Amino acid sequence: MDDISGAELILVIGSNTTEQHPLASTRIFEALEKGAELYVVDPRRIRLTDFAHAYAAIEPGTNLPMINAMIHVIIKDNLVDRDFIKKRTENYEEMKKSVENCTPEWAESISKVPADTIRQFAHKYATTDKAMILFTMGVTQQTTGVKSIRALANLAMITGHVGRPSTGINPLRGQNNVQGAGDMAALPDFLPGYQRPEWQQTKDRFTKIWGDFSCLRGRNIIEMFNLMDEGIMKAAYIVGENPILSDPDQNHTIHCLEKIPFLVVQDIFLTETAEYADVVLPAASFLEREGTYTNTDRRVQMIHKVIEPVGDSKPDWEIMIEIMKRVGMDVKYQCPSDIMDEINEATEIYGGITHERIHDVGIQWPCPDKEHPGTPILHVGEFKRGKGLFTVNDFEFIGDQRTDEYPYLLTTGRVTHQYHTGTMTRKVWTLAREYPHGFVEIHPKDAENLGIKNHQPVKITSARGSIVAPALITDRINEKTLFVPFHFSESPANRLTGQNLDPIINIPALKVSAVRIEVE
Amino acid sequence: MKRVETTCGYCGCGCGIYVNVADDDTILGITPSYNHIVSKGKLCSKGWHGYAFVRDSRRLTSPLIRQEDGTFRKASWDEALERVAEGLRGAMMGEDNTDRIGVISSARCTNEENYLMAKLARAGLKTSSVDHCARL
Repeated sequence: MDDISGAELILVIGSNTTEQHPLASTRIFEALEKGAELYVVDPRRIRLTDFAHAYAAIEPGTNLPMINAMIHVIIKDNLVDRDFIKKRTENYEEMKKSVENCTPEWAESISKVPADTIRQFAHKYATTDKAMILFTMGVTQQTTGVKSIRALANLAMITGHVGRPSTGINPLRGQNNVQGAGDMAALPDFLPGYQRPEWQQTKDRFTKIWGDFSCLRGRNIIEMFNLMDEGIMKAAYIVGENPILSDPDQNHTIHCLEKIPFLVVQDIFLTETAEYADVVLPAASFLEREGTYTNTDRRVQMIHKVIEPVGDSKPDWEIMIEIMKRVGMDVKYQCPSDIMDEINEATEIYGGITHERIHDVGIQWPCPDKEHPGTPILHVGEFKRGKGLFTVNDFEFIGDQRTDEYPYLLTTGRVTHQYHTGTMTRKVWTLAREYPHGFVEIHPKDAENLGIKNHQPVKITSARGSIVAPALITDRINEKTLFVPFHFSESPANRLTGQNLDPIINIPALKVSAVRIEVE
Repeated sequence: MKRVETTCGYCGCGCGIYVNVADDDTILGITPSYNHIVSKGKLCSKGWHGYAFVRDSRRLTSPLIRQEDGTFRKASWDEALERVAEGLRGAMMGEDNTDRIGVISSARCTNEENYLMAKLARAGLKTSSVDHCARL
C-alpha cells in the first residue's frame, strides 16, 4: 500500500475508495500531497472526484470501450514503451490490430465519456512514469468484467507500467480475508495456493496430504444455486455468507434455499439466509478466535482472541473439525497453527508463513520457505508466466440495457459506515445512525421529470422484482442512472439485479441492471 | 485492563488495532496500532466503532434445529453436529458429489478455516463445488 503514496498518477476505475477502503484512500491523499494527480472513472461523482484532476462520468458497464480507446490513442500517438513490449511481452501485433477501430469517438458513443477526455486520460497515463491503476468491483461486476481487466493489463503493458514500484493494475480486495479465501482455494477451480486440480503434480501432492479427493472443476456459487433450483443439489453448507442479500436476483436465491433438501448455515447472527436452514451453528466473531487474514497487499497477518466465544458459540475452525471427524475424516489439529503447518506443506506461496514468523508486520506471499522475507511486488523483471501476454478484448453488449419499459440503469454499491449485508454494522448504533436505511440516488433532472421529491419513497422495478426506498436527489449520479446500496434488507438492491454473468468467470453484472422508477 | 493487538475484521486493508478489555471482559473500545505497517495509527469509522455487535443480544448462542412446524429449537452441539453429519452423508452418493453437495465458505473466515473448508469439501464430502463470495 505504500506503493500508492509513491505514485505520480493514480487512475481509479470503479472503486469508491474513500468509502470502501478508507485506509487505502489515505494513501491516495498522501500521494496528492506530494504532487501526484488523480484521474477517476465512475458513473457516480464519488467523493474522490472532489479531489480529482480529471473525471470521466462513464455509463455503467462500459469501461471496456474506454480502455480499448485509451490503448488505441496511445498506439496511434506513438506513446508506447517499445522496449518493454519487445523484451517482456508477446502477441502485441494481434492486440494492436484488435483496437484499430476503437477510436475515442467510437468509445464516446457507448460510454458517454467525451472523446477528448479519453485522449487526455490516455496521454496522461502513458506519459507519467509512476502511473498506477486501482480498481474494484466497478470493473469486475459486469458482463465484460474479465475482458476489462485484461484490457487494463494491455494498457499497463504497452506503457511499461508493470513490475516497478507505484505502477501496475491493483485490485483492492473487498472483504477482510477475500484474498486469503481465494489463496486457500475456497474456489471450485483451484486447490490451495492456486494449484490446478487437473495438474498431475497437484494430484500427487494433495493425495499425499489429503488422501483421496474430488479433483474436478466444481460449481461456483451461481451454478450451485441453479443446481438447487433444478433439484440436483441435495445439501449445502454455508459458512459466514448471506446470499439472500449479497447474491443477484433475491427471489431466485430464496426459491433455491427453500428447495434444497438439507441446508446448514453457520454464522454469528440468525441472518436472512440462516432463516432457511435446517441446522444453524453459532460461530464466534473475529474477536473470539485465533488465526490469520491476508489483506489486499497479500500480507498475511495474525488475529488474536480478545474475549471468550459468546454464549455457546465456537470458532469456525473448531466446528469444521467436528464436522470433518463426523464425516469420517482423520483430523489431528489442536489449534490454528497446526492447520497453518499443513498449509506450509501444501502450498508454495505460503510455504514459509508460520504464525511464529508473522507476529510483527505480517509476511507478503509468495514466501516459499522459512528463510524467505516475502514478496512486496509481483512480476518484477519477469511475469509469472514468463512473457506478458497481450489479449484481444472486443466489446459486445451482453445483458441489461435501457429499454422503454426499463429506461434507467441501476448500479449498486456500499456506503462507508456499513459492511456488506449489514449483519454486523447495522447492530452498531454509532454506525447505524449514519445510514439508518437504504436509499436510491437519482439525478435532479430525472427526479423533476418524474415528480419525485427528496426523501419521498419510490418504487424501483426490474424484470426480477421491485423494492421501495426513499429517493436521494443528487447530481453526483449520472442522468438516467440510479444507485442503491445493497446493505439494507428492507430495500434489498439484489432483488433487482439479475443473472447476467461474465461468460468467462461467471461474475454477475451487479453493477448494471435495467430498471424503472416511479412514485410509490 | 488488557490491550490485545489484532487485525481489523472489516475490509481488505487489514489495519492494526488494539482492543481494550476491562477485567470483567467488557470491551471498552478500540484504538489504532500506531506503528502498524498498513494503517499507521489511523482507522475508519468501522475500525473505531465496529466491535459493538460482538455482545449484541441477538448473537446466536446455541445451535438451532428446525422442527416439523417450521420453527427452530435450541439443541446441544452433539445433537446439531450429528444432524449436520447425517444430512451431509445422506447427500453423498457414488464416487463424486460435485453436483450434489455445495460448500460455501467465507471471506470473513481465517485462512486456516478456508483451508479446512476446501479440504472438508474435496477430501471429506468428495465435492469440488466449493466457493466463497469473491464474485459478489
